[in-house]
Amino acid sequence: MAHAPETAHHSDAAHGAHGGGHDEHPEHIGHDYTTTGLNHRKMLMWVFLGSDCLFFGSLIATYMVYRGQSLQGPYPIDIIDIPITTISTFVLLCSSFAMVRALAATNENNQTGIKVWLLATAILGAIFIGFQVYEFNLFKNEGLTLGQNLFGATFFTLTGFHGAHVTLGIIWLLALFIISFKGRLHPGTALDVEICGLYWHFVDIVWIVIFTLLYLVGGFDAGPAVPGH
Amino acid sequence: MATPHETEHHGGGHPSLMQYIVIAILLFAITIVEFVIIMDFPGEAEKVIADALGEPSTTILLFLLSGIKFAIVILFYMHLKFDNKFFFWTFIAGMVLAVMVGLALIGLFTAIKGGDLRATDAFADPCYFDHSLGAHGENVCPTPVPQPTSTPHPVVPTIVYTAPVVAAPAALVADVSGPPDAGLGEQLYVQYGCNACHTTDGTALTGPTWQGLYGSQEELSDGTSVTVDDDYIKESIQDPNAKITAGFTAGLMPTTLGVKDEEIPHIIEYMKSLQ
Amino acid sequence: MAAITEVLPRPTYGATGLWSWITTVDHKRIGVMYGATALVFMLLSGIEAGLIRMQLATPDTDILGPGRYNQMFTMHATVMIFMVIMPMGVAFFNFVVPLAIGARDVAFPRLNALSYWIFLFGSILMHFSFIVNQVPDAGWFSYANLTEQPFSPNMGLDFWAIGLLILGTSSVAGGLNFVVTIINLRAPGMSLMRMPVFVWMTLLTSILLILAMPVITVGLIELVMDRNFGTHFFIPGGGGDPILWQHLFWVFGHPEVYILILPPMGIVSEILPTFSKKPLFGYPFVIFSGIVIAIMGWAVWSHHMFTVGLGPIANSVFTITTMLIAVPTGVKIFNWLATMWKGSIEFTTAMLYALGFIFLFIIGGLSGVSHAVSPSDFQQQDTYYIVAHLHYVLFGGSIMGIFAGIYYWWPKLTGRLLNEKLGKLNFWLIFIGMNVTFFPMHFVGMNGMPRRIYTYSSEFGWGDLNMLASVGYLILFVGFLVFLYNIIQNRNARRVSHDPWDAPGVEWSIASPPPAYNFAELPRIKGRDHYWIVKDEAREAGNPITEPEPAVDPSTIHMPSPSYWPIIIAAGVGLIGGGLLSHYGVSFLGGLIAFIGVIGWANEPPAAEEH
Repeated sequence: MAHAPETAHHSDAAHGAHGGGHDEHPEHIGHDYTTTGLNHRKMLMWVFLGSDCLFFGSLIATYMVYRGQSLQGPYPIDIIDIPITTISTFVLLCSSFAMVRALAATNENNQTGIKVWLLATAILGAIFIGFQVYEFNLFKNEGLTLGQNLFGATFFTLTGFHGAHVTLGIIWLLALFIISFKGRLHPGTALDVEICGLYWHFVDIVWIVIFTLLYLVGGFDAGPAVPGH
Repeated sequence: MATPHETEHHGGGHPSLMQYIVIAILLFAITIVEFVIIMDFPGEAEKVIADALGEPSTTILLFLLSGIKFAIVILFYMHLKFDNKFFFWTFIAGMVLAVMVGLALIGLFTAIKGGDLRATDAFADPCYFDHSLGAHGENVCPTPVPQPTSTPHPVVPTIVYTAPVVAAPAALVADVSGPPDAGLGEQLYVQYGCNACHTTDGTALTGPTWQGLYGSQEELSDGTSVTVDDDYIKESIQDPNAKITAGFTAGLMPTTLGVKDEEIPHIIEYMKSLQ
Repeated sequence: MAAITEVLPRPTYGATGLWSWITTVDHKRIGVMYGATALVFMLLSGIEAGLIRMQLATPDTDILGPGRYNQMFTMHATVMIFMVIMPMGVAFFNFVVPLAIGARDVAFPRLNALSYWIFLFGSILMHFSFIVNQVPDAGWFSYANLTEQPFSPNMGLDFWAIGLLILGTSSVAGGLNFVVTIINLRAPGMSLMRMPVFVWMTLLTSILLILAMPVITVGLIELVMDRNFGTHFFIPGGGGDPILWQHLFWVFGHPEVYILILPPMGIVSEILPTFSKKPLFGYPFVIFSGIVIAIMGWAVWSHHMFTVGLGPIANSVFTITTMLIAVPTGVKIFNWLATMWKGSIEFTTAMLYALGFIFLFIIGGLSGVSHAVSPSDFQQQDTYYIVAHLHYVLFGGSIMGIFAGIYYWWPKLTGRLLNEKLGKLNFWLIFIGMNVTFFPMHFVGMNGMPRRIYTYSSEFGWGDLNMLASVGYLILFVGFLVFLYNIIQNRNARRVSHDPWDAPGVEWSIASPPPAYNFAELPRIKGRDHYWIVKDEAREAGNPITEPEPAVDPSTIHMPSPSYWPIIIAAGVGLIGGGLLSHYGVSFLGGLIAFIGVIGWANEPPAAEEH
């Protein structure tokens, strides 16, 4: 990050205030010496995201392996509603934009901006979850349950765990929103917002993959016994 | 690996507000393009663009567009374009590994479908590695219908893998509207995996054998007895735990088989044939 | 939120007694806790192994019966892998790595404590299965569809799956912590190519952990859902495929094998140069072969599944990759041998164990190559030949390496040497016992004795060799008791200098046991064998080093204060798992506790109030 060099490092000692996931380490040469000059927590988040790739990778692989293997309906083509999901995809993309603005506001020490954009991100995330709850309910009413067929099992597991990630992100954003009222978010603590943002954008890109595979490409999969379509 | 003392603050800066807005609009635009490609429009019978492109072009195009979205978000929103290369490679390593493991699994499963794995078959049958569905969901490469075996598999599932009892979409019984037919019933017997627990040769496995079952008197676990007739069989399929034959355990038969009402007469007909 | 941290203020540093261990964030203490816990589980799992050997000693025996026998081999393997060898590795990561890279602690001390407590509670949770007598009994790989509700109706497999999910959380947290620590907390001058080999192997193991654990997590989640929520991921009746479980399990399982063997390889690479008085031969080759193993470990998993029927193409590909991965392993072995070549070798107990590691690991490696060939594997699959192979690799390899490490670093931990005479007795008992137990299994395996059978007919003629193996177990057990005795009587042993082995690692430059802050001043690393260089320079300057770095007043060095939150969050996580096995209300309570714990953690002041 090119803005306000070093301030992110000074902050922890100077203010003793920190958001979620903070951890301290013993003093080092030049106060916050790290071998690479990179921040511990940011590195932790990136390595974790690398790990989470394998988690979603395995869930997606399960879906792909079982694609078209359901023994009975409803099949994707019967119930997947692409227009609705395109809207919820928009909402999630908007939330990523809001997240970027929240970080910019933190770097500019724009206290109103921090609050507005953090809340906007959380609310957009919540709307996305709302869409998901609506969709799950709709599918359930149309007969798709976890036990109904492999499509149900893989679909609900994959999107459910993605939804859980989004929910966790919303809680994290709200925690940041709350501590912003105590003046604890400013250029010195921008890293707290940035790390949350990394997580949030990651959840966004996972959705980009899910949207493509489960909706755009897999949404037209028909049952094996329906000839012609 | 990052070289020591390389800082995360190196040149280039990160995008301005204007650039972020452009990026956001680009993301929206790509999503709309994807939407347009695959949708049917009112008044049009078919997906105009997708059908014009055909497969696999449509899928490749969609992957490409999504890949661009993915790259934009990680490079700009997550600053990987501007940040230390260590972060970039950390993330890419995890992502590439996930993709490769996923592709390997898909490859291995495409190869395993069909159950018969002799080398000669693999090379002689052009459809051996490809049982995927065509552009409209039709079965391009028909999968052989698994035949019910006369000797049921022994219940030692841990060591020996026996090919999935139900492997083939094409094996599904499409038309069950006709008069009760033992042949159809036999197919359903395999399709729903009944043969995993119920034999047709008199051996008792996890569930009672079907040989000689129809019309017989069965003693139940509560001490009463019942005649095996159409109603009893129907109940046992749809609510397996309602009555349990003495000597067998409740709760083992799946309640979620999804056997349809109109399929049951065929199964009963098949049971009748097993005297 | 701040109210929480007022209710439970941050504990002050330097408290003593039990409480100081519960709240500690000191990497050395956490390492000791990992090691002690693993030793307890090793005893437990060793007793399970004893019951297995008792049952198999003679033909047509019915001491345990088939049900208990299944439970014993399942728990023996699960405990040995997830609660003995892995945490033993982590114990060494914790105790050695910060010292060996010249750091004062790990990057995230509280996260480190959290990893330990989650590991402990997860292990205890799995052992609750003994209390309710619904013990996992489907083997450590728990193949579907044996693990599904119809075939395993009791809760044993739920205990197994949820216990492993919790242990996986702990492993990932620990892995993340050590990756960041090693990348980011090396002392000035310690470039990547100056890092001790053990630190390198820790880095690779940690990377494997964080990448492999998510895969088994997904498999376990799907298994739990199959068993409890009506899905059919692995149930053929619903269209699922039991083979998917095998794939997910072994995609994780093969990197896991390297997670178990790389740390002991690192330990041995530290010990051999020390006691040969020569630098490690071909350091870059050892490092790069480690990296190649870590990468190729992802491309060999289906060699566990040759007999599944993946088809000739898949089997050929995995045969080739498996044979290739033997190459970097061989490179390491030749480097170790070349390190000793013309060295002035000192046969301490640690060195004996390191030599034992090489000897036994070669045998295990060679038998491994013999079933890398898929046609030959069809003969060996699921026989005692495989049991012999895996015990030569995991016992002859991992456990021998771990014992070597314990003998090597013990004086750094306590300031006292473990008794060398007892140590050598301990080594020879274990070495002989190990070979007497497992070598005959090659032959019974080749004679067709299958794994996981609870008894066999005397007509097969396997009785004598099985009796021999059971006798070997007794020798092993006595050897282990000698080791425990050696540890217990260590309090009375004489103190030794800070550098009893004249070792090259930077950890030997400080006092034994190390002060809480490790290094009063961060060392400037001068080369690959830093402390040898420092000692040589001092000797040439005419004043050889005999004393450790001088101690300073600990209050002048800011160290992270202890914290209550790790154990509180871990208890919450444990309760969530426990609730899934009993009543969802308990899960809810656990979730609440963990949530409060996270808030407290995030708002905790960086240090206790001064007084």
